[in-house]
Amino acid sequence: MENTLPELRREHGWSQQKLADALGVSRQTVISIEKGRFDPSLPLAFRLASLFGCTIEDIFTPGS
Amino acid sequence: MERAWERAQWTSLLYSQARFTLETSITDKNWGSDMTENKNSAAGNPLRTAWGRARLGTRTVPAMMPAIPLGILLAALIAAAAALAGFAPQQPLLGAAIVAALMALPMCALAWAFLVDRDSLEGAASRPEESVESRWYDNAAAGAFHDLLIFSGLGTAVLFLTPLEIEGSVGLLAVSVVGMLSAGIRYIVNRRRG
Repeated sequence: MENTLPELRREHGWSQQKLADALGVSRQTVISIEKGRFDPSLPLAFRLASLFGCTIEDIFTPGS
Repeated sequence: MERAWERAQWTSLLYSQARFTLETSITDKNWGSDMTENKNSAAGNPLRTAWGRARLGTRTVPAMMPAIPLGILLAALIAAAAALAGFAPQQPLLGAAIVAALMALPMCALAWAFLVDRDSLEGAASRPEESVESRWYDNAAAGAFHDLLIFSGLGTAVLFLTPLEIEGSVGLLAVSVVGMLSAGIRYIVNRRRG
């Protein structure tokens, strides 16, 4: 899946570590999601959306 | 710092296998309230240390404090069992001492892994089961399982079709080594791929 997580994170001025801490996951998890190498679980995707005040579809889109 | 993080992640993965159900049932009730002040987060908790703390009744102590004596006790018990089972019958005391010395460190590590409160570990994620490292571990374990099926199947076929004979303990040792190597290598490959 493609995602807008790096842009959203930068808009909020958050580091990868801060986002990881807020989500309760490792920094490597955030890195892998941003690179599109790791598809998060549904609960984690919901927490991401809740954190940025948007929907899951605003963050993730199916890859080409 | 990097090594402490690696150690914490490994501990997280191992420990989460046992506490997965309990943790998710507790933490999933809280995640929607205020994500920016996650009290289980790895940052901002001054009580977190590299080796963590263990709960003893109502108080907590550095996890190594009970882990080391417990590990030494377990090593001594294993050494005594080995001596009673006839390990090194010529010199049972020397044999028991060698077994105890070899087992002390792994038993201390095992005791620490069981006793440490994971939430007190520096750098430990509060939801390791949702981290990418958990996915790497699952992939490595699944791949190792298939490797073991192939290895044991081919090995059994070879033993049936040829006059070759091996002891059961040697065969089991080979299966264990293949399983551990397969899981370890697969985990490293997964980690490098990201």
